[in-house]
Amino acid sequence: MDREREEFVQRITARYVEEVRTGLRPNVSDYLVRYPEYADEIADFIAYFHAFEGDLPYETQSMPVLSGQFQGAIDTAWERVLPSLGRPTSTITSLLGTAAKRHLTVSQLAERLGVSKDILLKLEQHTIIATTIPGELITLLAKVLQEPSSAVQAFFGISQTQQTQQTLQLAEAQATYQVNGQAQSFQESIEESEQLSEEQRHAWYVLLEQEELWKNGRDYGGGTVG
Amino acid sequence: MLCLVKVADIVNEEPAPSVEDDGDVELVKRRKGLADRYDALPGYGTVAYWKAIEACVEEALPLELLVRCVREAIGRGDDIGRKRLFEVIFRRTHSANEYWANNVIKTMNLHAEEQRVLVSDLYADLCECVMRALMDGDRLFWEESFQHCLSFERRHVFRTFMTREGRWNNEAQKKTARIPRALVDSLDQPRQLSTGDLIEIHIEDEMAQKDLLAVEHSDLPRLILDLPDKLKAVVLLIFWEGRTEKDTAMVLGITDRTVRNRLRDALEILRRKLEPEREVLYG
Repeated sequence: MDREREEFVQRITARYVEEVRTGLRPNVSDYLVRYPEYADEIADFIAYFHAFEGDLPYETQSMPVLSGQFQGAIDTAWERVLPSLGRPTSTITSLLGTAAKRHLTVSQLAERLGVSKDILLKLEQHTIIATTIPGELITLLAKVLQEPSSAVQAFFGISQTQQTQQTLQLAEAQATYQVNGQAQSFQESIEESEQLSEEQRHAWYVLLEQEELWKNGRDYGGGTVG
Repeated sequence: MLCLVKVADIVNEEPAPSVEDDGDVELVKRRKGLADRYDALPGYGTVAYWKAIEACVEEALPLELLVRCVREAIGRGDDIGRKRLFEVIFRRTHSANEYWANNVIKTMNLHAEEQRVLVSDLYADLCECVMRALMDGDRLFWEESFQHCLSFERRHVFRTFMTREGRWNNEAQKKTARIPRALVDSLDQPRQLSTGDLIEIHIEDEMAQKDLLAVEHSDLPRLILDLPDKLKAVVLLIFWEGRTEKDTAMVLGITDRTVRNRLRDALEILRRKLEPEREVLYG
């Protein structure tokens, strides 16, 4: 069973299990009728569930101390897994696509990041010069998208070691993505955005200054930072 | 331009519809609740963070959140943090995992010491599979329904383990199968369902049918598990749910004849499995 198919069957059978756990007696046939193309997998899981899972104690919220036997088993598993552990190789080809995988709409992603949709689209389309993007936003993106920071940096074409030196080259390298061929700084996109709330704008101004990314020494409304 | 077209598509689309999107407001709320709790966690790696992770009883975090934390640890390259998170997860799920492992091994009729060793092996296999699953950031359902994913993983480990031990669909092992029956005396009686209906089955293998009807209802799933996938749904519907052949055909969208053929094949397999017990019972 491929991954996508398995997850679909998991979602179907999760409902069945939930019904059983809440004391209902769901009809197997209801599920098989509704998802005939998954009938074999559903039947297999349901048979397994009633054979081995139906009367399992539920997860405990305590933290029992494990006996030597089971601690040893966990250590064995860890030793088996260790050799295959490498550094994460995750790649992001689209911020919005990755967010969609996490069931986040564009609006939800923008809200979680504290930016407006127009700025989010500029980030997606690489029309913001990568090295002008605050590190805080990179961290936040990594957290919300549940991807390594390195993957987010790679999406923007930011090299961790050569970030500063390559500003111009990166902007040129991403030219094919740019709308109207015009790249701008993150600060400019903040200033220009009509969708960003004043509160959000101010918060970003503060952050830009904190990260020493604020240019022109301009006053940005309100006069003071923080 | 291709890139821009793709972006436009994404912008105009909500996440693709899936099985849970049939107006399931509860699920959306649950997702949001989990996301909010995750966002509210103290800064990664701080004392407050670990206090929250290792909290017990009422303050214990949902396991789904711990999965996200494992993935964050991986993203940060924090091997020690990852191992610490695994420890918390395995301790929280230990009772169920231990019970399950003992239950599975009990079906194998082994000596106590052999059982103990195999329980450890099975438990280690499960932990390994769970670790690998949690480290795979594409397996998103773990972040929504940890317990159900764990059930799926246990099923996978169970099957792999039994295959490795030579006990999956292995005729040579049939004499070790334990098929407890409470209804042995009613072997010659047709099965009456809780609804009061009698099951109508017209098949040639009457002995196998009687044997199967005599098996305790709660023991049926274990027998069904041993069948080829194609045959499981038919047996489940007829013997577990008490459907008629005609009903079963309608549910599965196949002909009555196909139902009969599958039932015959299933009963043939089960008859061979039940044969040793009949010998014990009747000599």
